[in-house]
Amino acid sequence: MITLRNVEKVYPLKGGPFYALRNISLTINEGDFVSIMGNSGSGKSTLLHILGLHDSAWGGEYTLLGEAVHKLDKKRRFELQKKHIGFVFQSYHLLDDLTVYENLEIPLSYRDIPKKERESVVCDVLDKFGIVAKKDLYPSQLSGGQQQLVGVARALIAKPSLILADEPTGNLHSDQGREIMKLFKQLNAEGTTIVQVTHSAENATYGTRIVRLADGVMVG
Amino acid sequence: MISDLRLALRSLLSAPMLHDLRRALRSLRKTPGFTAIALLTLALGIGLNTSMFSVLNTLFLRTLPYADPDGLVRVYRTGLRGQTQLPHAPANFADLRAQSRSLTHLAALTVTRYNFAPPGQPALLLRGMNVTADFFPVLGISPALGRVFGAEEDQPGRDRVIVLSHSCWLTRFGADPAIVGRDLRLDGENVTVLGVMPPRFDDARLWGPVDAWRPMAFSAENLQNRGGNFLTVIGRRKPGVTLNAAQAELSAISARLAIAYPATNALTGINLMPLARSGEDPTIRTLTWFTLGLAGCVLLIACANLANLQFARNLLRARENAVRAALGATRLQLIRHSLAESLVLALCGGGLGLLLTLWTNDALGSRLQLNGRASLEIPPDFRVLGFAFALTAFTGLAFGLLPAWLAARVDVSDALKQGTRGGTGGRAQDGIRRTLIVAEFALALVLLSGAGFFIRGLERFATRDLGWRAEQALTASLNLPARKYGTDDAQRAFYDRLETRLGALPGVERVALATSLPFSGYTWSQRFVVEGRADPAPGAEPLRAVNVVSVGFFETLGLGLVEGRTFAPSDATNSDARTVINETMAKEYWPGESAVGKRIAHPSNRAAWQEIIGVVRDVRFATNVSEARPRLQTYRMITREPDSRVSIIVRSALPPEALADALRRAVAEIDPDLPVQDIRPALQTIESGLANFAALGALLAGFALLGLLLAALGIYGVIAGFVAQRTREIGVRLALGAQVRDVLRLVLRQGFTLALIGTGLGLFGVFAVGRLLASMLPALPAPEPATAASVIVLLLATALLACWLPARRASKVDPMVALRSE
Repeated sequence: MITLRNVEKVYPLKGGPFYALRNISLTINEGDFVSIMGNSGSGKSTLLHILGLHDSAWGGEYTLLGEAVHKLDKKRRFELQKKHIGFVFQSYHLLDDLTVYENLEIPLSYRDIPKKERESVVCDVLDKFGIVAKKDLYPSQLSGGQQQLVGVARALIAKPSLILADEPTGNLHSDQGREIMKLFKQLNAEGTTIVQVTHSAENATYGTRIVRLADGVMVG
Repeated sequence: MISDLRLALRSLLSAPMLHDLRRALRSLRKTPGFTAIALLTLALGIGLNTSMFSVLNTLFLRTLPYADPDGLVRVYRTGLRGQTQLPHAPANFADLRAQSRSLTHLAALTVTRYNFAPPGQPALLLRGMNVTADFFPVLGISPALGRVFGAEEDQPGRDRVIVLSHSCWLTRFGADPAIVGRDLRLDGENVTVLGVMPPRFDDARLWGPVDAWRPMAFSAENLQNRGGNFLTVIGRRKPGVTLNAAQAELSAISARLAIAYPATNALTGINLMPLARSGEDPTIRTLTWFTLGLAGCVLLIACANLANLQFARNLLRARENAVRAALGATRLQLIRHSLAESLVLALCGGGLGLLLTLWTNDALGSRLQLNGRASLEIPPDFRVLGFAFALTAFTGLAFGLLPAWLAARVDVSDALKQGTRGGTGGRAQDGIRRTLIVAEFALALVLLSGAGFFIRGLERFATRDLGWRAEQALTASLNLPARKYGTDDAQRAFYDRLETRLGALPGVERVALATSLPFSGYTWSQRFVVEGRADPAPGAEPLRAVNVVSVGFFETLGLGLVEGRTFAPSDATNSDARTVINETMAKEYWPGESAVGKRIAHPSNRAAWQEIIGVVRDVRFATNVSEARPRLQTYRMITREPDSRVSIIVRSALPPEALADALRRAVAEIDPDLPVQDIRPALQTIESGLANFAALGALLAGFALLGLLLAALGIYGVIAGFVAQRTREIGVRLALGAQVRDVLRLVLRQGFTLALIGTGLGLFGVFAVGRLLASMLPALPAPEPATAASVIVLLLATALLACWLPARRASKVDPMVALRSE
């Protein structure tokens, strides 16, 4: 599904170039559940944002679902991202002004899905995640775990084949964290490929594979 | 960016935009402080501009309330000395009317007053117009009651008829439906009311408020008159005839008349103008545009402020935009989302602005005068609504588009990383925000200097040396009806009795009579030639203003004698006419020698030389802002040339208003049917004549204060934002040993530098606005550098104060708290 070959991310500084990532070559297959681990500043989040096509200023080759990302223009990359990738953030990043329902509806509205269809999809997801009762609440009225549950639901609502999660349990109590990881495990079992960045060795055990980074270089 | 804009505008009309508008409303409700400030700023900016546009619309853009107003024309006579708006003589008018084929009708009119004596009530004056029978067909409006007069009544002896205006019918006759057919006592004779015109005919733009119309009824003698030019002429073009074609035809007729009657018509021509434009006062028109321009400055400052506020909100929302982008929002969708908020604000602000306009229009209208009407009705119409809507849309885009466009250029990976501030394009936005502050200060300086120059200029104009004394003087006017005072002797006898009677009033020091008062200008001009000098070409003779005055005029007015003497009673019976001239004329025609004893005459009457017996100081007209330098002024004796329209000047040791009743009673004792009009202290007349300018000055002062306040708020907001962004840095500096004064200097330097740059750039605008004012109002004293210096000091002091507040807050930062908060 994903192939990286000699991917590099360099910041040109006055004292010489700084390599945030160097010579990253990596293959992720469909159905994998990969945990990227490493110390702070090791390049985990940078790698995740390259995989998520948020960052375009990098070198090397990146193939996603057969598409050579490094050869695509900005517009095509954006289309690829919209079609195949969902994001889960450590700080949930729910939109404060929107209700749970509206937060879930947002990715669909950006994909020009008709309102009727959006209603049906959002209702399905609310039901699937057991948050129907919370649909009219605002994020500030939810616990951290509930917010992240909505965050995961939002990432999945457009039916992406790849979920990228940046420290998805970083702001949660351990019980809530475990619930989220179980959810990821279940989604992975249903066929969704998942790549998570984590500091937690326990969370990494939910995955099928660990990629370790140190100072921008893959060490395992 | 252009294609982005095009797509963004297209998406504005889509259903998701409505969704965005709803969300924007919700978001604005959650930030009531921001919303209130933004709405207030917008309402003031849009409201003031719409109000100024309403004035412009009322005075210059609104169509005339007559049938097919585009076909109406004003027919002027042109003169050799570049005059383009001269009146016509009756015989020339008659020839134009008889020979023109491009106009369906041609009508002549004069503005006049009628003495109306209602039974059992004091006599009063009606504002009237004598018009030819074509007048009503030209304008194409039928009467609301009765009928208008026709050609059969527009003849001497058959002209004892009158048509009333709607307002006159309402106020003087209680809207009596049986008024038609009634006889009224007018100027000592009975005239029959033929009809009443509808309310829309009351428009005061062209000729001021009019109470009634009577037939012109040219006499046979009048119809031979080609030398006395006093008729206003209007006409209606035939369908399909262009203005140029009509102009060409009338010019050809005029050229034939010039050949046939060279003594009176040589070197004259025709100037045709759309009637709607003919009543315009170019000074007022330019001043209105000038004021609208300064109101535009207020709006631009407001837009810059709001854009800065939006940039500040963008900083707070950078992460939200990054999340939206990560969830699939395109740049256009992000722009639309941000823009929706600006548009909602602009629409609500525009609505409030429109409400404000209704109020300001009333307030402004009550202080403005139009053609003698004490207030100006400024109704909003579709043009005003359209302007307000266009301004609202412009404003929403002006302050919303750039912040929205920059907000959409979010760097998702940067913004979403933990620990980052989430700023997007921080340096670019900072640069733009600073540029906006610089622009605000430049605009504020232009605004302040424009207002300052105008107000200070008006103040100096109002207090300048007029050459005569307006204090302690009471003035009034009389209109002697021809039926009772038809001969020169009758008028002379009346003057004698009047001067004697008024002079005997307790407290009265001096009394004088004149045909013109020195307020807006002497109303009568004549050509002249100088004895012993080469004659200019016919028609190219110089013009002098003529005032026909009584013996005591100069002393009563306090007009100083420079050379020779003023009139004595014996001059009235002398065989040679005597004249007094002003200093400017003496210096221009007899430089380095005495003008006394020299003689001048009218070019067509060289047998009647007028000897100059004295030179008096120049009269500066108290309310005339267009005349930069005094013109040539001459005075002749009223006892030699009596006139039916005469003004009274009374000087007294008592407060002048205390004499008004006594003056009215004195006139009534001589002739109870003779109404006295415009009894007012001279100072009050001057104040009233300058009322429009005073109102404009107050308005500009309001604009300037608002602009100053907005600029201060703008710089305060940016510097406060700067302090908030750099709280950690300030904490570190303080922790490293910086003193309070170092922090104050750091913050003040940031703001004051921007204000200084803006002020420096604004100096170009100050220069331009000074030049513009000088060209618009040449009689106003030139802008003073001291005024410019004062407004610069005021602006910079305000900037310093606005920066001081956040600087003081910055100096109180606790390093421990600041560092922990990060």
